[in-house]
Amino acid sequence: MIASRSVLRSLRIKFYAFLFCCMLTGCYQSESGQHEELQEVAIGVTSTYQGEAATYIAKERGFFEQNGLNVTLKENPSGKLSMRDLIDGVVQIAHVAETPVIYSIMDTSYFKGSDHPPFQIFADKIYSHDIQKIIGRRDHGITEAEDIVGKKVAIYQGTQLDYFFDSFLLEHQILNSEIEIVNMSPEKQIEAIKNGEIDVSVTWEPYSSYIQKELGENAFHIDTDLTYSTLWLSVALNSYASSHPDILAAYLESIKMAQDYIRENPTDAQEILASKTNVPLDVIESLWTEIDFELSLSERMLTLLEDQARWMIRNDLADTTIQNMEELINFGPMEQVHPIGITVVR
Amino acid sequence: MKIKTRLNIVTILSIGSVIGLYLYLWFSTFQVDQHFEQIDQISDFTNTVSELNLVIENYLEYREQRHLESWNALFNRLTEYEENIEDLSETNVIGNSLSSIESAFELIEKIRGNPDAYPDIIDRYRLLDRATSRIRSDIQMLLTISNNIATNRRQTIREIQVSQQINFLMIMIPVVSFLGYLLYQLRSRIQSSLNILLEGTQEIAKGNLDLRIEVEGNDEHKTLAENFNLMTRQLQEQINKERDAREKAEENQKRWEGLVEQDPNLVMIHFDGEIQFINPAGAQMMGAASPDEVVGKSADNFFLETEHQRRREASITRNGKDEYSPTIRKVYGLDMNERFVQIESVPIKYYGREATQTVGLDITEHIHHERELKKSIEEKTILLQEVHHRVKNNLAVTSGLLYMQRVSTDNPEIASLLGESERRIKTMTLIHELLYSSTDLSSIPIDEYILNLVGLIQKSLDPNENIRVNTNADSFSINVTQAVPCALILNELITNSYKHAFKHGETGTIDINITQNKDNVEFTIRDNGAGIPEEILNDENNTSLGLTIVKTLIRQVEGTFDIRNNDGTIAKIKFKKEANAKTTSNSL
Repeated sequence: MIASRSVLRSLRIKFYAFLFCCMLTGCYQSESGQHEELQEVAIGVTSTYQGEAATYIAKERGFFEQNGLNVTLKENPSGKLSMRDLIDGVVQIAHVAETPVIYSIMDTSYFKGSDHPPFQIFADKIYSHDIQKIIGRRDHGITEAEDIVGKKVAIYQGTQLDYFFDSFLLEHQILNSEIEIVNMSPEKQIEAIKNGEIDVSVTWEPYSSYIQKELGENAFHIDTDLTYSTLWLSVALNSYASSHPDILAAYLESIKMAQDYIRENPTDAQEILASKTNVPLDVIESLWTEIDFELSLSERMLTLLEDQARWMIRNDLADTTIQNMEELINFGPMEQVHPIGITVVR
Repeated sequence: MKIKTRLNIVTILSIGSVIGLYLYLWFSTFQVDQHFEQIDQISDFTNTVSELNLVIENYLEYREQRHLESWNALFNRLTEYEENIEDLSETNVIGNSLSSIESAFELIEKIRGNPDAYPDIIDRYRLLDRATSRIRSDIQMLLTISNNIATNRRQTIREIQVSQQINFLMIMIPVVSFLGYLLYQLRSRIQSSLNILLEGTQEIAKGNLDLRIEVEGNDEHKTLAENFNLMTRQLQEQINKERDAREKAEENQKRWEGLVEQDPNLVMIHFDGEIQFINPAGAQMMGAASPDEVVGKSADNFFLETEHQRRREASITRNGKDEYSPTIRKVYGLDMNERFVQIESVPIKYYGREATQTVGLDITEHIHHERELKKSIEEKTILLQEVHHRVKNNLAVTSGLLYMQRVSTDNPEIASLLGESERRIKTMTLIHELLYSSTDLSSIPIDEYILNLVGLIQKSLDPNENIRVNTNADSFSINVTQAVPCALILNELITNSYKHAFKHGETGTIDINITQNKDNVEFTIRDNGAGIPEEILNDENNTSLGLTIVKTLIRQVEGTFDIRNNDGTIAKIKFKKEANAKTTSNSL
């Protein structure tokens, strides 16, 4: 009798201990296991741009899957093409700089033959600095900014390079008519300036680094006091954003996780980026301090968009206008995922 | 597991938990302090950026020199912040924005310093606007980033605090639960064991010494229970032994009391003379009707010492253990009667105290008999002495008569015969003289007698002492029965030597040896005289009076007699000594 009472007491204590352990372990159950089916999302990215680091890391480290997304990356040479893919419905989210966005809104001829649906900006993913560069050939007589007068200058038109180069010309009091503009993609500019087809290349990283590598001592980087910090926006169609707010939030959550990963594992992030973009690791390392990976919707972004809108109007590049730039922005996903990144004065 | 070990574990866990929690809280607080310090620095940075924004706006508007100086100071301070504050230096956009602001500011200064280089006014203002916008944009960026960094820090602090609370609970809940479990187990164990021990002790207190306390486990209570059981068992054994001993003692007591009660002798126990116990017979000896009349009184009141007893007790050898040899005490009883008691005392333990047990035998009648016997003996001794004295006197008278006849006759032969008879009677007289003058009336000391006898003979036969007599006699006594024939035998042999061994006037030596070996007595009388003629020695029918007397007396003492010549005459007499004769160690 005494023995059975002792056994019962022992069992009772073990049961309470088990219950207690279950309560404790229950607190730490992973949320990842709660997802059922991954949702398909296509994202248009610029394959060689370092600003895409968070996207590649999220893809590589499975952060998209962790947030219930099966992401397909549509790789393009520029954000402009990604924007086009967005409008064409090839991708649901496009990574693009601010200028193509403004062009898309204010120049109906920007995407010829397309009466594009309305879209929206729901995040900026980087803080960049001096990504755009102007490289001239020394042997073509270019050793200072004013030397480009009368020279053949290659630029990929319809991108943020237009605004950047316009500022450069304004700073150095050079008229458009005094130079010969050649519309050329960044990849082609490398060979063109190497072959001497062009005298000056207005391009972005990492192509400017490639050109400097190719030209070596013959390359002359034309500095400018009026620096330019391009944005790297996440854009979605309004219809998609309104119907899939959870996907946009999951997408931002994945990007945020990737940005945290980059901050905590910069070396690993650089190696992943190098392998995914085929950009040499040393180039990535040399440019690493030019970009911070941080989700935001800032007043500066809005100011820049407005600046560029005004610039288009002054330069007769716009055939329409936008009354309130803030209407272009969807704060919802950011408010859900990273509210402190929103610094727009509202 | 022992209770001590369990308590040690609880103590170590408690101390470890407190130390662990203290270290954890210290570390967390340190972390939070670090974050607050960073926030303070970032806040300074943000304030400086705000001041810079104000200064730039004023400078661009009014171009006051002091604003330019402030600009330089503030910008340098921001640069220092950017280099020294960890969060800022890790964020590239801060350094990049400062660099942009500086470039834009320089551009503005350049334009304003040399407006002629920008002849198109519209373009100049567009450029100024763009530079100004760039500065404003970067300043707004700096404010945003620094604010975000501070917000992140605050968020981190909140996370640390939440983590701190969770970790605190995660540490405390299991530790406290485990400690509680251990304490509960310990309490249950102690309570259970104590209850068992308490119930056991209560049962044992009721007298149930057969109970064995069973405690499970292997701790101190188990050991305590085992020791308790061992103690109970030993107690039970001890009690059994004591009970057996008590029963035995009671039995012995009863037996002893029975014996003592019925003992006709005195049995008394006293402390330093104060009577504690006395049996009825003893009480009766004290002249009391019952022991109660005597108990508590001093034994000295009853036992009186006479001078004779004091002398006798003084000579008693105490063996050092308060043990006294038997002694006789006169008792004056309560009934005023006088009794004599032979007592013997031994030291004993009585009720744990040193006491003396005295056993006494009433010898009053014996004493009275002894006194009467002594008186009778004294009377008979006097009578015997008187007899000896009268015999001696009669023999002396006879001897005197013979002497008178000897001296009155002219016939030498008759005189000689009378003289021999006279000596023989004196020989016997000498014996009675020794007997009545002695305390012992039944035996005579042979050595003393020989000396007297030799003196007597020498005085009679050799008054000039030409013959030397050497006497060597062991000191012993022989009784009267043997003493008289022995005396006569010696008289005849010594007289024979005096008369026949030496011619008249010759010198010579007579050696007399008397020895005793156990009960065998041997007389040897040797002289260096002429010896006895062979025809006399070889004549079986010799009718010499002296030898006839000797042989006759030898038969009386059942002895042997041998006489021969050997440079004189040697006569040896051997006989077995009869009892009742004293022996002393002295020798002549």
